[in-house]
Amino acid sequence: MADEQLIEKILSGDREAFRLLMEKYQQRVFHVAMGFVHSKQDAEDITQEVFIRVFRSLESFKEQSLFSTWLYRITLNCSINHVKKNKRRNFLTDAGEGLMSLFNRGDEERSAHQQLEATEKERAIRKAIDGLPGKQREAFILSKYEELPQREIAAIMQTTEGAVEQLLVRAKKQLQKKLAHLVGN
Amino acid sequence: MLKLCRATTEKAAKLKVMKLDRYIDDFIRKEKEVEVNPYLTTRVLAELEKQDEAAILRTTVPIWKKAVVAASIVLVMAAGYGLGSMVKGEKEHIAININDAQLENLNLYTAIGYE
Repeated sequence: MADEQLIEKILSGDREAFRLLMEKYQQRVFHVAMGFVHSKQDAEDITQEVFIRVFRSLESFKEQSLFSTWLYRITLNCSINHVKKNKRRNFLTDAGEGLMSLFNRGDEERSAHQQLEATEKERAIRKAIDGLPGKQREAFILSKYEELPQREIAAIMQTTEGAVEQLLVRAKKQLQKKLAHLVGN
Repeated sequence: MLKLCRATTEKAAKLKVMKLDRYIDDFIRKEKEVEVNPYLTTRVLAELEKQDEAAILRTTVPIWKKAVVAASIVLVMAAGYGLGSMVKGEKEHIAININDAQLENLNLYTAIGYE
């Protein structure tokens, strides 16, 4: 069923249509949220918030853009808000993870060392992505986590394709700079 | 020789970039493999229903009813305070005998000098 039909049904009070719409898009919303928070629980909370917001404001959706574009815009807003709200908690989680990775070293020193190295690598990548400036981060996540074309990213971020390209190039350079230590200087 | 050296350096730099890209792609692929909870849809629908019920409750209970409830609570508190204040003066005359020696006063049995 097309999005327009589903939206029409939802607006007439059909909850089953909303279920279908959610099932169609929830994995995509979840991926974008994962790009921002890197945690299943938090990404699910964001996904829930996004769909509740979609349901509540569906009447204001003017169909001037694609539904998916509108949905991604809401997802970006909710994710950014969530990150801002939980900044302090994330800092504590990071510190906790660092300690846990030290304590969880197994008996076999070699495999433990490899595991530690892998964890450290993942942590560095996560930190580098999280440390990207706002717009670069949004463009990077939409491009990498959702593999959206630059045209669609531009529509979501309400900017030009050229600007998106610039953002992606800058994001890539930033990541290379921040993560250079992983491949040896 | 210098040309060869420069070419090798450039190649090494490219390889590093490629390796880094692979690390980042692997990390993202791993995160994308995480599946969303299949019950999330049900959770969202339940939350919507809960919010709707709360909204109905908010609209069906008129504001004057809420005011009456609040006023009743204040009234009960004031009444309690008033009653408490009334018995405050009486308390001064009540003495509790907690002296064991006086609880079993032997004078009661001997009656010497009791009257």
